[in-house]
Amino acid sequence: MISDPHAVAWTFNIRGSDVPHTPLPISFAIVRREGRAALYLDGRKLSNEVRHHLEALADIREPDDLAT
Amino acid sequence: MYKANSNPSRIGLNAPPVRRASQLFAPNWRAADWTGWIVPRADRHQNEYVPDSDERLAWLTGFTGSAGSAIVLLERAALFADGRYTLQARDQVDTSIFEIVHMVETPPDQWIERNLNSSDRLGYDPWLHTSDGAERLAKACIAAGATLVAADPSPLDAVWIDRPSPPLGVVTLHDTRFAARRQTPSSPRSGPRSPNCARTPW
Repeated sequence: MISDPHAVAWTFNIRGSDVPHTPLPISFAIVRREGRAALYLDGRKLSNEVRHHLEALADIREPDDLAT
Repeated sequence: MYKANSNPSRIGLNAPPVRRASQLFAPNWRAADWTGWIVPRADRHQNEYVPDSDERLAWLTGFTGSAGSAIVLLERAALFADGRYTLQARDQVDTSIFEIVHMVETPPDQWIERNLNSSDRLGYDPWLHTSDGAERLAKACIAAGATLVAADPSPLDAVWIDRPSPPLGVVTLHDTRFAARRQTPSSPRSGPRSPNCARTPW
């Protein structure tokens, strides 16, 4: 379970623009030993190209899904 | 100049602080069983820079420093800030509501021990505290004979009606030539496993 957006950015090779001074994508991720990773971020932040790239690596879910 | 990265009008500071603080104890919330509430300057990720939609401390108190927290009880309230913000806190916060407490000399847990009564129930939003932090608060409450109560959804978010929307910053791919490691579908990021990660109990 990754709750630090710095670590999510590192894990998925992505950068964001949600907060000043640091290029972090506000997001969570779950990386499993086996099976697909899941990336929890607001899908409206993703262009089709970026979404396509990330969907090859992980399931893309909405942040609110994390708690359900 | 203050170290503020938020524009007060964007985070809904239009209502006077006394109204914002008292809204936490609107009759329907008081029935929900707490007598106090703690607000950290934190988002769900413990980010150093939080988006306007997470500036709860600034919304509640007016204080826009980069670190701090507030505790609101029925009869009194405290803003905790460190030495960098002694002057700023005094200027920004209504001191007729909030006592300004030096958070290095008297951290929130010590203040809780000294100021909570045995019947008090201190509410907190579990999304905004680390597990260590919540444990410290719980211990302090127990020492005072009081109880720490997790509340999700947060009553503060419920009364923050002009809360800004969360940011929608565009995500970009970080080119592999800057990142040094390739990604594959089975391993978003292959690298040495952190010893901390191996010890993580969940």
